Amino acid sequence: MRSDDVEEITIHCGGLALLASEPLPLRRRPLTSIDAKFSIPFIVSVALAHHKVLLGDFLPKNLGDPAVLSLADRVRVRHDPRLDDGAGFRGAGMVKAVLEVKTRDGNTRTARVEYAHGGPDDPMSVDERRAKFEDCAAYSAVPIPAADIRRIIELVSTLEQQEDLRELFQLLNGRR
Amino acid sequence: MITEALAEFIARTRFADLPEVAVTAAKRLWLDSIGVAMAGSAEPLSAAITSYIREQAGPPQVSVIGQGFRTSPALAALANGTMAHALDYDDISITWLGHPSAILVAAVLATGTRLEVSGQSALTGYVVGWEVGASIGRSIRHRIHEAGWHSTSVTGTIAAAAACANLAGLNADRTRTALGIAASMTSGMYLNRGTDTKPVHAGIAARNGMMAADLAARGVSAAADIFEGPGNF
Repeated sequence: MRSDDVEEITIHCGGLALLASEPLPLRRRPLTSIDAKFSIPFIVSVALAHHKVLLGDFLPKNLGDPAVLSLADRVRVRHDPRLDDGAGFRGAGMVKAVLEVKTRDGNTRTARVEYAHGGPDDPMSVDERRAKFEDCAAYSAVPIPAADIRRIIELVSTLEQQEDLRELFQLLNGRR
Repeated sequence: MITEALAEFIARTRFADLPEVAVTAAKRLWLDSIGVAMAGSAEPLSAAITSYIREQAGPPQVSVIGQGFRTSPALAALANGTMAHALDYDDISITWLGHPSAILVAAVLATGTRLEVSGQSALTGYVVGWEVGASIGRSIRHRIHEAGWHSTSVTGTIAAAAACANLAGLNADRTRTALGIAASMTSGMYLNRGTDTKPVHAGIAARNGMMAADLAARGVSAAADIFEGPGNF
């Protein structure tokens, strides 16, 4: 789906998710990285515009991405008590959601999410976990060489076979 | 006797007791937590924490993730826990009502390095801490937030103490005391979410939980019925 084809996006969600969509003007134009991470309009728009969501999308310099913001203006969020899952604050839902995208040709497409991706009911794949780790490691204050990143993944994946934590801890430090 | 039962669980659990699914999940969450700490290491908050702990001049024993130097176990736990939660990109548990791995990995890495434990012991301490945090979270639910406290660190301090007590091999009596000390060290205001102080909660919980176990190991006393006595946790 291309951003230009989108007329309107409606997210139906549980009560707790409203914390990440109100007040709507601020959530459509988050001013800080943490506000952007707690913004349904912003995150849904990143996903639609870029087809993936990365840490870099939340850097202060990327909060003004016009492709994302023009979509965020078309996002509406509606509370549907049927999506309250009993798990969140006072039983309000925070995970279940229905995404409804109305396109300019008059069609509507919907998708329903039951479980958060990355949770026990919908785990990330090995490749996704590795990609998140490598993406994160690239931001380290002291750069971590690529070979060390590979070795850290190997050491943690076989942690129960390691005699001690010495090598792992040396690598985590970053080298000067 | 909740405190006694928890202490016995903590003191007696060994690697062989862990279900395979727990070991697999633990290793995934370790990698994730280390990654998000690396990403968090470049945040202004992390520069502030790093500058603070450098000033404290701890002996170079435990690595500060992504910062290229070592410090004392307590200061490393403070920094590593904070950095892992700095971006709010770390794991979350709805049962625990908080962010377990930022606290537990920081506490286990620091204590584990000091005690030179094996990978199996480190994983065992981590899983034990997780179970204890989840048990507490399940019993207090959102009442804790309504009371103004942040469950990540309130629950996390006790969970970190449990992890470190297991790692250090404390017996059930001393572990029970560690829980009592840890309960007195819990902190974190829910009102601070969205600010730099929220990630610091994770660092404080890791450091305080470690300290509770370390003090209990030295015979410091605390209530043995912290979860059921009058005016309990």
